Amino acid sequence: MSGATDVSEKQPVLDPEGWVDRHGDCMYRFALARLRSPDLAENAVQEAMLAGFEAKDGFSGRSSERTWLIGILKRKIYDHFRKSYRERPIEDVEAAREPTDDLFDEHGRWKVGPAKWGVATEAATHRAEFWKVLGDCLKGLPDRLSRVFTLREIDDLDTNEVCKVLSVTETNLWVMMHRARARLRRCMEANWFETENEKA
Amino acid sequence: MLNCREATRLADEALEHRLPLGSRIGLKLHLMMCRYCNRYNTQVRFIHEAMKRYAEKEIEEINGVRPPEAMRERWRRCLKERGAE
Repeated sequence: MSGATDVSEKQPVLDPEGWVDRHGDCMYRFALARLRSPDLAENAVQEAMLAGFEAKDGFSGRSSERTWLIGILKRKIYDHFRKSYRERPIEDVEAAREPTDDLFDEHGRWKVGPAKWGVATEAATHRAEFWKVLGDCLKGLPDRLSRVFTLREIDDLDTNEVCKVLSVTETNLWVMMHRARARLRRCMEANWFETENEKA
Repeated sequence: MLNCREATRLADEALEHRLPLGSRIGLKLHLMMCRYCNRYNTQVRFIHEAMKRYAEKEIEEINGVRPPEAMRERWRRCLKERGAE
Protein backbone atom coordinates (compact mmCIF):
# COMPACT_ATOMS: atom_id res chain seq x y z
CA MET A 1 0.00 0.00 0.00
CA SER A 2 1.47 3.30 -1.00
CA GLY A 3 0.35 6.16 1.18
CA ALA A 4 -2.91 7.80 0.29
CA THR A 5 -1.33 11.25 0.31
CA ASP A 6 1.15 10.16 -2.32
CA VAL A 7 -1.58 9.09 -4.64
CA SER A 8 -3.69 12.20 -4.23
CA GLU A 9 -0.83 14.40 -5.35
CA LYS A 10 -0.17 12.36 -8.46
CA GLN A 11 -3.68 11.62 -9.66
CA PRO A 12 -7.23 12.59 -8.89
CA VAL A 13 -8.61 10.33 -6.23
CA LEU A 14 -12.02 8.90 -6.96
CA ASP A 15 -14.67 10.00 -4.56
CA PRO A 16 -17.67 7.68 -4.96
CA GLU A 17 -19.68 9.46 -2.29
CA GLY A 18 -19.94 12.50 -4.50
CA TRP A 19 -20.64 10.65 -7.74
CA VAL A 20 -24.40 11.00 -7.61
CA ASP A 21 -24.19 14.75 -7.12
CA ARG A 22 -21.38 15.43 -9.52
CA HIS A 23 -22.14 12.99 -12.37
CA GLY A 24 -25.62 11.63 -11.73
CA ASP A 25 -27.42 14.07 -14.04
CA CYS A 26 -24.95 13.65 -16.85
CA MET A 27 -24.87 9.87 -16.63
CA TYR A 28 -28.64 9.67 -16.45
CA ARG A 29 -29.08 11.76 -19.59
CA PHE A 30 -26.45 9.74 -21.40
CA ALA A 31 -28.26 6.52 -20.50
CA LEU A 32 -31.73 7.89 -21.20
CA ALA A 33 -30.71 9.09 -24.64
CA ARG A 34 -29.67 5.56 -25.57
CA LEU A 35 -32.05 3.35 -23.64
CA ARG A 36 -35.12 5.61 -23.94
CA SER A 37 -36.62 4.34 -20.72
CA PRO A 38 -36.27 5.98 -17.28
CA ASP A 39 -36.23 2.61 -15.52
CA LEU A 40 -33.56 1.14 -17.76
CA ALA A 41 -31.55 4.34 -17.50
CA GLU A 42 -31.73 4.35 -13.70
CA ASN A 43 -30.56 0.75 -13.62
CA ALA A 44 -27.71 1.31 -16.03
CA VAL A 45 -26.43 4.30 -14.06
CA GLN A 46 -26.62 2.34 -10.84
CA GLU A 47 -24.79 -0.62 -12.33
CA ALA A 48 -22.14 1.65 -13.79
CA MET A 49 -21.58 3.41 -10.48
CA LEU A 50 -21.32 0.12 -8.63
CA ALA A 51 -18.96 -1.29 -11.25
CA GLY A 52 -16.94 1.89 -10.99
CA PHE A 53 -16.84 1.51 -7.25
CA GLU A 54 -15.54 -2.05 -7.57
CA ALA A 55 -12.96 -1.02 -10.12
CA LYS A 56 -11.91 2.24 -8.53
CA ASP A 57 -8.43 0.98 -7.73
CA GLY A 58 -7.84 0.50 -11.43
CA PHE A 59 -8.57 4.15 -12.19
CA SER A 60 -5.41 5.53 -13.71
CA GLY A 61 -6.33 9.20 -13.70
CA ARG A 62 -5.59 9.45 -17.41
CA SER A 63 -9.15 10.59 -18.02
CA SER A 64 -11.43 12.60 -15.80
CA GLU A 65 -13.59 10.81 -13.28
CA ARG A 66 -16.64 11.60 -15.39
CA THR A 67 -15.20 10.31 -18.66
CA TRP A 68 -14.14 7.18 -16.85
CA LEU A 69 -17.62 6.63 -15.42
CA ILE A 70 -19.31 7.35 -18.74
CA GLY A 71 -17.02 4.76 -20.33
CA ILE A 72 -18.24 2.17 -17.86
CA LEU A 73 -21.83 3.26 -18.42
CA LYS A 74 -21.42 2.87 -22.16
CA ARG A 75 -20.32 -0.74 -21.70
CA LYS A 76 -23.29 -1.42 -19.42
CA ILE A 77 -25.63 -0.04 -22.04
CA TYR A 78 -24.07 -2.18 -24.79
CA ASP A 79 -24.36 -5.20 -22.51
CA HIS A 80 -28.02 -4.43 -22.19
CA PHE A 81 -28.50 -4.21 -25.96
CA ARG A 82 -26.61 -7.43 -26.48
CA LYS A 83 -28.64 -9.25 -23.87
CA SER A 84 -32.04 -8.05 -25.00
CA TYR A 85 -31.08 -8.78 -28.58
CA ARG A 86 -30.21 -12.34 -27.66
CA GLU A 87 -33.41 -12.79 -25.71
CA ARG A 88 -35.42 -11.76 -28.71
CA PRO A 89 -33.44 -13.30 -31.53
CA ILE A 90 -34.04 -13.03 -35.23
CA GLU A 91 -37.68 -13.10 -36.14
CA ASP A 92 -37.34 -15.86 -38.65
CA VAL A 93 -40.36 -14.93 -40.68
CA GLU A 94 -38.95 -11.48 -41.05
CA ALA A 95 -35.52 -12.78 -41.96
CA ALA A 96 -36.65 -15.41 -44.42
CA ARG A 97 -39.02 -13.26 -46.41
CA GLU A 98 -37.51 -10.59 -48.59
CA PRO A 99 -39.59 -7.62 -47.44
CA THR A 100 -38.97 -5.79 -50.66
CA ASP A 101 -40.79 -8.60 -52.49
CA ASP A 102 -43.96 -6.62 -52.70
CA LEU A 103 -42.06 -3.65 -54.14
CA PHE A 104 -40.55 -5.39 -57.14
CA ASP A 105 -41.76 -7.88 -59.74
CA GLU A 106 -39.94 -11.11 -60.55
CA HIS A 107 -37.55 -9.24 -62.85
CA GLY A 108 -36.60 -6.87 -60.05
CA ARG A 109 -38.52 -3.94 -61.52
CA TRP A 110 -40.64 -1.59 -59.44
CA LYS A 111 -44.28 -2.62 -59.20
CA VAL A 112 -45.21 0.84 -58.01
CA GLY A 113 -42.37 3.29 -58.12
CA PRO A 114 -41.66 5.88 -55.43
CA ALA A 115 -43.94 8.89 -55.72
CA LYS A 116 -42.65 12.37 -56.27
CA TRP A 117 -42.24 14.14 -52.95
CA GLY A 118 -41.99 17.51 -54.54
CA VAL A 119 -40.87 20.70 -52.91
CA ALA A 120 -42.22 19.62 -49.56
CA THR A 121 -39.03 17.82 -48.52
CA GLU A 122 -36.90 20.59 -47.08
CA ALA A 123 -39.79 22.69 -45.80
CA ALA A 124 -41.25 19.65 -44.11
CA THR A 125 -38.47 19.49 -41.55
CA HIS A 126 -39.62 22.82 -40.11
CA ARG A 127 -42.92 21.32 -39.11
CA ALA A 128 -43.36 19.57 -35.79
CA GLU A 129 -45.72 16.97 -37.28
CA PHE A 130 -43.01 15.86 -39.66
CA TRP A 131 -40.87 14.73 -36.74
CA LYS A 132 -43.79 13.03 -35.11
CA VAL A 133 -44.57 11.04 -38.25
CA LEU A 134 -40.91 10.15 -38.64
CA GLY A 135 -40.82 8.97 -35.02
CA ASP A 136 -43.97 6.90 -35.55
CA CYS A 137 -42.54 5.32 -38.70
CA LEU A 138 -39.40 4.47 -36.76
CA LYS A 139 -41.44 2.85 -34.00
CA GLY A 140 -43.38 0.95 -36.64
CA LEU A 141 -40.28 -0.89 -37.87
CA PRO A 142 -39.97 -4.53 -36.85
CA ASP A 143 -38.12 -4.73 -33.58
CA ARG A 144 -34.78 -5.89 -34.81
CA LEU A 145 -34.66 -3.53 -37.76
CA SER A 146 -35.53 -0.64 -35.51
CA ARG A 147 -32.74 -1.60 -33.14
CA VAL A 148 -30.10 -1.82 -35.83
CA PHE A 149 -31.29 1.35 -37.49
CA THR A 150 -31.40 3.31 -34.23
CA LEU A 151 -27.92 2.26 -33.16
CA ARG A 152 -26.51 3.18 -36.51
CA GLU A 153 -28.43 6.33 -37.44
CA ILE A 154 -29.39 7.93 -34.14
CA ASP A 155 -26.80 6.70 -31.68
CA ASP A 156 -24.20 7.06 -34.40
CA LEU A 157 -22.31 3.86 -33.70
CA ASP A 158 -20.03 2.80 -36.51
CA THR A 159 -20.58 -0.42 -38.43
CA ASN A 160 -18.06 -2.33 -36.38
CA GLU A 161 -19.61 -1.35 -33.08
CA VAL A 162 -23.12 -2.25 -34.18
CA CYS A 163 -21.91 -5.62 -35.46
CA LYS A 164 -20.20 -6.29 -32.16
CA VAL A 165 -23.10 -5.15 -30.01
CA LEU A 166 -25.65 -7.20 -31.91
CA SER A 167 -23.36 -10.03 -33.07
CA VAL A 168 -24.25 -9.75 -36.72
CA THR A 169 -21.99 -9.81 -39.75
CA GLU A 170 -21.32 -6.71 -41.78
CA THR A 171 -23.23 -8.05 -44.77
CA ASN A 172 -26.17 -8.84 -42.54
CA LEU A 173 -26.09 -5.35 -41.15
CA TRP A 174 -26.18 -3.80 -44.62
CA VAL A 175 -29.15 -5.93 -45.57
CA MET A 176 -31.01 -4.93 -42.41
CA MET A 177 -30.21 -1.26 -42.95
CA HIS A 178 -31.49 -1.54 -46.51
CA ARG A 179 -34.74 -3.08 -45.29
CA ALA A 180 -35.14 -0.44 -42.61
CA ARG A 181 -34.55 2.40 -45.07
CA ALA A 182 -36.92 0.95 -47.65
CA ARG A 183 -39.65 0.59 -45.03
CA LEU A 184 -39.10 4.02 -43.57
CA ARG A 185 -39.23 5.59 -47.00
CA ARG A 186 -42.47 3.85 -47.77
CA CYS A 187 -43.95 4.79 -44.41
CA MET A 188 -43.02 8.45 -44.84
CA GLU A 189 -44.46 8.45 -48.33
CA ALA A 190 -47.74 6.98 -47.15
CA ASN A 191 -48.12 8.99 -43.96
CA TRP A 192 -46.53 12.28 -44.68
CA PHE A 193 -45.75 13.09 -48.26
CA GLU A 194 -48.85 11.65 -49.82
CA THR A 195 -51.10 13.66 -47.55
CA GLU A 196 -48.94 16.67 -48.29
CA ASN A 197 -49.44 16.20 -52.00
CA GLU A 198 -53.16 15.87 -51.60
CA LYS A 199 -53.34 19.14 -49.75
CA ALA A 200 -51.28 20.89 -52.35
CA MET B 1 -27.13 -4.44 -66.00
CA LEU B 2 -28.55 -3.88 -62.54
CA ASN B 3 -32.25 -4.23 -61.99
CA CYS B 4 -34.16 -1.90 -59.64
CA ARG B 5 -34.12 -4.31 -56.72
CA GLU B 6 -30.34 -4.54 -56.88
CA ALA B 7 -29.93 -0.83 -57.51
CA THR B 8 -31.91 0.18 -54.42
CA ARG B 9 -29.94 -2.30 -52.33
CA LEU B 10 -26.68 -0.78 -53.57
CA ALA B 11 -27.95 2.77 -53.10
CA ASP B 12 -28.56 1.96 -49.45
CA GLU B 13 -25.32 0.05 -49.08
CA ALA B 14 -23.50 3.14 -50.32
CA LEU B 15 -24.67 4.89 -47.16
CA GLU B 16 -22.86 2.26 -45.10
CA HIS B 17 -19.51 2.11 -46.82
CA ARG B 18 -17.65 2.98 -50.00
CA LEU B 19 -18.80 0.60 -52.72
CA PRO B 20 -16.33 -1.24 -54.91
CA LEU B 21 -15.67 0.56 -58.19
CA GLY B 22 -17.76 -1.79 -60.34
CA SER B 23 -20.82 -1.44 -58.13
CA ARG B 24 -20.36 2.29 -57.96
CA ILE B 25 -20.35 2.66 -61.72
CA GLY B 26 -23.24 0.23 -62.15
CA LEU B 27 -25.31 2.15 -59.62
CA LYS B 28 -24.50 5.50 -61.16
CA LEU B 29 -25.51 4.32 -64.61
CA HIS B 30 -28.73 2.85 -63.34
CA LEU B 31 -29.63 6.00 -61.40
CA MET B 32 -29.04 8.11 -64.48
CA MET B 33 -31.51 6.07 -66.46
CA CYS B 34 -34.10 5.09 -63.90
CA ARG B 35 -36.39 7.80 -62.59
CA TYR B 36 -37.84 5.64 -59.82
CA CYS B 37 -34.54 4.48 -58.40
CA ASN B 38 -33.22 8.00 -58.64
CA ARG B 39 -36.19 9.15 -56.57
CA TYR B 40 -35.68 6.31 -54.14
CA ASN B 41 -32.05 7.28 -53.71
CA THR B 42 -32.85 10.96 -53.14
CA GLN B 43 -35.63 10.20 -50.68
CA VAL B 44 -33.67 7.68 -48.66
CA ARG B 45 -30.82 10.16 -48.41
CA PHE B 46 -33.23 12.84 -47.32
CA ILE B 47 -34.42 10.55 -44.51
CA HIS B 48 -30.81 9.74 -43.65
CA GLU B 49 -30.09 13.46 -43.20
CA ALA B 50 -33.33 13.96 -41.30
CA MET B 51 -32.29 11.25 -38.83
CA LYS B 52 -29.35 13.39 -37.77
CA ARG B 53 -31.70 16.22 -36.90
CA TYR B 54 -33.98 13.73 -35.21
CA ALA B 55 -31.10 12.59 -33.01
CA GLU B 56 -30.27 16.20 -32.14
CA LYS B 57 -33.86 16.86 -31.20
CA GLU B 58 -33.88 13.84 -28.94
CA ILE B 59 -30.75 15.11 -27.20
CA GLU B 60 -32.19 18.63 -26.86
CA GLU B 61 -35.25 17.20 -25.17
CA ILE B 62 -33.16 15.13 -22.83
CA ASN B 63 -30.90 18.03 -21.90
CA GLY B 64 -33.53 19.46 -19.61
CA VAL B 65 -34.15 16.16 -17.84
CA ARG B 66 -32.87 15.54 -14.33
CA PRO B 67 -33.13 12.28 -12.44
CA PRO B 68 -35.75 12.73 -9.70
CA GLU B 69 -34.42 13.15 -6.17
CA ALA B 70 -35.81 9.75 -5.15
CA MET B 71 -33.74 8.12 -7.87
CA ARG B 72 -30.61 9.96 -6.80
CA GLU B 73 -31.27 8.83 -3.26
CA ARG B 74 -31.52 5.21 -4.39
CA TRP B 75 -28.15 5.53 -6.13
CA ARG B 76 -26.58 7.07 -3.02
CA ARG B 77 -27.92 4.34 -0.79
CA CYS B 78 -26.69 1.70 -3.19
CA LEU B 79 -23.18 3.10 -3.26
CA LYS B 80 -23.15 3.48 0.50
CA GLU B 81 -24.23 -0.12 1.02
CA ARG B 82 -21.56 -1.34 -1.35
CA GLY B 83 -19.03 0.78 0.47
CA ALA B 84 -20.02 -0.69 3.81
CA GLU B 85 -19.64 -4.30 2.64
